Amino acid sequence: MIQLGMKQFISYFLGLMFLTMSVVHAAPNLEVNTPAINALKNSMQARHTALASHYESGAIGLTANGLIAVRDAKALPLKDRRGINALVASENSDRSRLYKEVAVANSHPEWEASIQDAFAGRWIDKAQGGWYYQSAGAWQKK
Amino acid sequence: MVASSIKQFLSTLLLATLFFTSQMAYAVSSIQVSVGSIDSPLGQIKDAQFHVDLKGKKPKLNLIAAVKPQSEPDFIPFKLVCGTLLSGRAGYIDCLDGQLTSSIVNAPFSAHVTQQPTQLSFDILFNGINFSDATGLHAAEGLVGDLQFNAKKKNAVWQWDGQLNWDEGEVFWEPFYFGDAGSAFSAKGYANTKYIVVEDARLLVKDVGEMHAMGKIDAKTKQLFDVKVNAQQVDFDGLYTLLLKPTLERSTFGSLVVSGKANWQFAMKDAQPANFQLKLMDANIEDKNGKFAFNHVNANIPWDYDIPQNISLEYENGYLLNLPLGQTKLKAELNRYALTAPELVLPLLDGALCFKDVSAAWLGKNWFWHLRMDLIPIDLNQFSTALGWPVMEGQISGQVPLVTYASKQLSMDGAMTFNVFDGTVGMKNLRIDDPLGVVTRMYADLTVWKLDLAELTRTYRFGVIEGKLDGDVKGLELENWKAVKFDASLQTSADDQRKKISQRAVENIAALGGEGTAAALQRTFLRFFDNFNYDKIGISCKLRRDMCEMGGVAATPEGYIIVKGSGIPSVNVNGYNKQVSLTDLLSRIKRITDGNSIVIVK
Amino acid sequence: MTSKIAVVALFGLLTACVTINIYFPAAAAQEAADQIIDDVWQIDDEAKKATTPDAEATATK
Repeated sequence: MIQLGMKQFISYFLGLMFLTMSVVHAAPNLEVNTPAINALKNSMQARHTALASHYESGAIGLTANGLIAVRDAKALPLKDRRGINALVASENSDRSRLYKEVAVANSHPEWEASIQDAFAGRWIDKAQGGWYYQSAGAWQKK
Repeated sequence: MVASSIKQFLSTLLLATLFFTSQMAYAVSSIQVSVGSIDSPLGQIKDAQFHVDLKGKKPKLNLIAAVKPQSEPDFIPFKLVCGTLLSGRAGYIDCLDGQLTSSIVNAPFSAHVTQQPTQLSFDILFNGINFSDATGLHAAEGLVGDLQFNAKKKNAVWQWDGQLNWDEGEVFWEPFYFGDAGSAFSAKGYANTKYIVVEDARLLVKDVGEMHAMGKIDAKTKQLFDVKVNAQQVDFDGLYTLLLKPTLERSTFGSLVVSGKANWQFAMKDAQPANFQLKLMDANIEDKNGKFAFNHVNANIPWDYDIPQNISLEYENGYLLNLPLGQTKLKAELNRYALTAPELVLPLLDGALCFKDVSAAWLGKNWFWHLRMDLIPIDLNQFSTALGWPVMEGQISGQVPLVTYASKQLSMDGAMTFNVFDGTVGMKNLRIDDPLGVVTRMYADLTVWKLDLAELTRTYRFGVIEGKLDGDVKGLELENWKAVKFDASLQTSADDQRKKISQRAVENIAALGGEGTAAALQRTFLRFFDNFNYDKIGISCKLRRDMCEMGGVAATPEGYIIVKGSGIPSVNVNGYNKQVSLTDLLSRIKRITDGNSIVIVK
Repeated sequence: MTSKIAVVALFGLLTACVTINIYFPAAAAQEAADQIIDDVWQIDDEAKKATTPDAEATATK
C-alpha cells in the first residue's frame, strides 16, 4: 500500500558495525593465542601433573636453555623412574616446538632462539622454591 | 644388573677359592695376601687384599679390592666378607653370611661353590641385594631369591643348567621396570670354546606369562647368533606394560590401554632377524589421549625375511579422531620390508574409506604409504557432528587418485567431493602434517558450486534466503582443525533465478553488526514486507590469523555491499568495517543461530 | 679539540643508528613467556604472590 504510493526507489543502508580490533596494531604484544600454541600449552599443562613431583624431588631440573633434564633419578623410587626419560624428551619436544610456534605466529621464524632465551629465564624465575635449575653448568637449588 | 653383579661376585669368589685351596694351612692363625692386579675376561681387579682369619671357631674371609668390569670406565672399590668360610675338602667352599659391598652394590648372600677340573656348580642365596649405577637408571632394590648353576665337562664340552628364582624386590633397567617379584628363569645348554648354546630357556614373568627361548652365543664376542623366542597366550596388557610400552613411549602407540591375549614368536639367524609372528586374540587397544581406539581386535601378523607372508587384522569397532569406525577386516601381504594390498576397506560412520592398490615400505625407520582412495558416501551431518564442526547437511564422496603418507605428512593428489547443502564443494591439494601429533596443520583448496542458501539458512535457523552461491576458499590452512588462513570469496551464482531474502535474514545479517541495527528496519515501512528481492549476495574474507579482511559483491567509498537489492523496495546491506575478528564474527553468528537474540518481526 | 671529539661521537651515533635492524622485542617476549608459563604451570594470582616474596625467595636461591 505504502510502497505503491511511493514510486521512488528506496534504498536502505544498514551499517555493519563490527568491532575493530584496535589492540592488534597498537601494543607490541607478541601473538601467543594461536591454535598451535594453545594445543602445546594444553599438552604441557597435562604433563605438568606428572612433572611437578619430579621437580620437587629434584629428579628433574630446569636447564639454562629453557628445557628440562633428568638431574638425579635416584631421588625417585624405582617404579617412578620408569618413563622418566621419555617424559623429559616429550616435554622438551613440546617446549622446542612452542618456541618455534611463537616465532612463527609473530611472523619472525628467526626469533626462535631469542624466544627460547626469554622463556629460559622466565621458567627459572617462576620455578617454585626447592626446584633445581642449571646455572653456569651446575645444578642450583632454588 | 643381576648378571653383572653376579659376575663380579663370581670372579672374586673364584679368585678367592683358587687362592684359598692352594694356600690351605692349618698351622697358621691367619693368612694375608696382597695382589697388585689381575686381568680376566670379565674385567680387571687391582689392589686386592685377602685376609682369612682362622682364629675363631669358624674362619672368616675379608677381601678388599677394586674391580673394573669391562663395561665400566673406572675402578670401583669393593669389599667382600664371608662371615663363615667353610672348606671341608679341596674344591668345595661355602661362604655363609657373605656380604659384597661397594659404592654401587650392597649384596648380602650365602653361597656354596664346588669347583673341580670337570665340574663347576654353585648355589647362591641372595637376601636383599641393592644396586644402583651412578645415574640411577640401572638399579635394583631388595632383591631376594636364589641362583643355582651346574656345569659338567665331558669331552671338552660343558653341559650346564641353571635356575634363577626371584621372590622379592624390584629392578629398573632403563627403560624397563620389573616391579613385581615372582618371576623365574631357568635354562640349560652346553658350551664349548666357540659357542655357548642355550637349548631351552624358560622365563616365567609375573603378569605376562611364560616365554621359551633357544639361542647360540659366540663365546668370545658374546654376540647372539641364532635365537628363537616363543610365547603363547601371554597377557597382552602385561606384555605391553612391561616390554612394549617402554620402547614405544614417545610414539603414537606410547600411551595405550590394552587388554587381551597375545602369541608372540621371534627368530634370529646368523645375527639377522629371520622371522616373526604376532597374534592378537580379542584384544582392545585404546589411546589414552583419545586419538584412536580399536575394540575386539584379532590379528595375525607373520613376517619372514625370505618368504612373503599374508597378514590379517580385524576389529569390531573403534574410532579415529572422534570418527566412529565400523567392523573391519583387513588383509595384506608382507614381503620383507614392503606391504601391499589390492583393497583395504575401512568402514567409517555410514560409509567407508576404500583404499586401493595400497603399497607401503619401511625405509630408514619410517613408513611410506601410497594408495588410491574411493569414498563410499559418508553422511556429512554425522561427520561434522563427530568432528565438532558446525552441522552440515549432505554427503562426502569422491575418488582420490593418489594418497601418500610419509614422514608424518599425509597428502592427496586429486579431488574429494562434498555434496553439501544441495551444492558441491570440491577439495584439492589436501595435505595434513602430523595428523596424530600435538600440532596438526591441514592445508587445502576448496571450490564451491551452487550451494543452496535456502537449505543452509534453514539448517542454521538464520532466516530464509533463497538463491545459490558459487565461490572458492583458496589456501585454506587449519591449525589443530581451526582456520587460521584462507582467501574466501562467495557470491550469487551467475545463472541463479530465485533470489529472495526474508525480513528475518536481513535483520540477522544486520544484527551481525551489533545490537540496535535490527531495530532500525522496524522503524520504517519496510517492516510490512516478509521478503525482498535481491540482485546479488556476496561476501569475501581474507583471513590471516584471527583477522578477516572483508569484502562483498562490490566496494563502496566507505565499505562494501553484502546484499545488493533489486526491485521495489530494494534493500541493500552494506558493511563498513573492513577488518573483522573471525572469533567475534563466529560468536555473533552462533548467538543468532542459537536463537537467543533473534528479534522476531511480524 | 673538544669539537672534534663531538663530531666523532656524533658520527659514531649515526653509524650506530644505521646498523640497527629489526629489534627483538625482549620485554614483550618475557611477557608472552610469563603468560604461557602461568597457564602451563597453573600459577594463579594467589600463587604468584606466594612465590615472589622478595627477600625470602631470593635469599634461598
